[in-house]
Amino acid sequence: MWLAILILILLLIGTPVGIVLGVGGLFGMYQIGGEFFMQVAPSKIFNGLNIFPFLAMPFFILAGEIMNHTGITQRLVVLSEVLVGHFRGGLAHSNMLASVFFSGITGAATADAAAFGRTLVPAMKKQGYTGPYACAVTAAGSIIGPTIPPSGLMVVYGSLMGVSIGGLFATGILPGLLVCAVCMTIIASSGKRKNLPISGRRATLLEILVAFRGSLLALIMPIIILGGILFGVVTPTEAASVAVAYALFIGTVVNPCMSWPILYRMLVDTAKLSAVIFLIIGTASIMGWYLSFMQIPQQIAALFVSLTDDPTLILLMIIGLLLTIGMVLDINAMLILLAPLLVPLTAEIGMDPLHAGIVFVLALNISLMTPPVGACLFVLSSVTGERLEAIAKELWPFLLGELAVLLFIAFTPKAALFLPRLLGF
Amino acid sequence: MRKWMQTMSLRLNGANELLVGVLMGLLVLDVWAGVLDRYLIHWQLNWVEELARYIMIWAIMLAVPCAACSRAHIGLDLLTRKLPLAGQRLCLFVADLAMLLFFLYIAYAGVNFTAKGLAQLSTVFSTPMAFPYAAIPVAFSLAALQTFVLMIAGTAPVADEGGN
Repeated sequence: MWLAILILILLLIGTPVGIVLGVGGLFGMYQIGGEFFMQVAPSKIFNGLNIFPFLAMPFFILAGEIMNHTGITQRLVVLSEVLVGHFRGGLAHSNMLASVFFSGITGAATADAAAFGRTLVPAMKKQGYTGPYACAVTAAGSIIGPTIPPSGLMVVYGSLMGVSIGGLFATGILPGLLVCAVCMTIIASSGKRKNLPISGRRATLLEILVAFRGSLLALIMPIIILGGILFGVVTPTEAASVAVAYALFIGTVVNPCMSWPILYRMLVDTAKLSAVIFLIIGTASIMGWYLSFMQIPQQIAALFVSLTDDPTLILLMIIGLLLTIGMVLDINAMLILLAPLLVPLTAEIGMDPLHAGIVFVLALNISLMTPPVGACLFVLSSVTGERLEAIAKELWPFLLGELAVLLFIAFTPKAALFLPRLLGF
Repeated sequence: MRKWMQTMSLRLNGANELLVGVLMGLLVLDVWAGVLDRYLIHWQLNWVEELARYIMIWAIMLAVPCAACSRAHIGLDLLTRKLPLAGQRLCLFVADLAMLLFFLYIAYAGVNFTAKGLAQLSTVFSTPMAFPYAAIPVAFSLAALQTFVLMIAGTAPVADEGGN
């Protein structure tokens, strides 16, 4: 009880999430076995991070940073504009499409939200979209990136739960595209009512071809990353390192813009970004140890099963829990704390591990943009200066659409598993 | 005194970042060597994975103090940003104190952890596990030091630091 109060207070006064989990975990250990138990903490941090596939995370971040610097990602925005820019609400549509194109390069929703918030939101405002609407579209699109592979969250999930990361990557493609399609439908259907701007004429075939050629190098990158992993040729870590090599090749040979100081800065920044995530993973491992010592997973599972034995209801409860807690806690921490609690339950109701994995990842990603405290909303609000409440108001239709995709994926395992099965996972 | 502490903290951070940058570079090279070996040269290098894991832990753990230095470890500021300035300062102080105490404790317990690692040998290199383990006490004492300087020398609450 005291532990819960301590955690809540620390969270509310703005203590970094990694520290909250660490302090909470230490406090819990002290309650069980005094200082003697607390001494275990460093080994929990070390072992929580001593995992080879985790290397894929910093490498994907690094590759994305280099690609951004080469300016090639900018051409992806141009490509999506020539493809869908002429519809009503063209820039909103191209924002969504660009999220899909970007998804093969980056793997973190908040980074996507920050990048788009700085570039696409001002462009949309200039054309006559309201600020909150532009932010809502960007927030809705930002979860496409980490749903379509590569995705840092899938790397963590796969490594921790012993599920094939390649398989998770394959499973993520369909829901990612579905989210894009649903959001574009929502934009199109509300276009007239909201009087969304029309930016101009349809691009000619030649213009499309030129834009396509310009972004070809960026489009190849996901093929290199995913192709290798999905066909089982390389491990995710190897693929991520090849992606770094490919991005460096573009940055030095094709479009020379890299220098040693720039590369050094990127290496350090990548390490810092990863450090924030790794600290959370490490301290969540302390907390996770405490939870499993107290047999909390078994208690929660027993509670769920005692409430109902209907698999549908259990799955709904799991999704509800993920969405609620995901609103306040970092999603990596959530995975480490909740996956061991909930995944056995999904196995009990007969879910395939890959299927359970994608439901987890998608639910956690959606929680990133759920008001009142979704991280993507915060990033967008602070980057653009729009008020959180105003963005949240415009976000509802998209949020409902994405929840519908989540439920569809959760309750039609055949569709969810079609692609991974096709690829032999 | 405050000025001196800030300068020292910055210099320390500069050296710290340099080390992180070099280790990250080595990490990339190591994994590239592994890929080349597996698909082209076939020397059956068995140390690539183990080395990569240990460099990764050192590089990323050492980036924890750098991130602390620039306040990159973020928490929820939904509530605190609505408080008056004095309240914001108090919250920030308590949060920093929790961070400092946590870093200090892990650094202290990490020394014992590392000492235990003197007797364990790693699978491939057969060197004491104390080498990789030492990343924990080193990184966390640096992080504690940087947090301490931040608490003393830099007290202004940072409201709009969001993003990265």
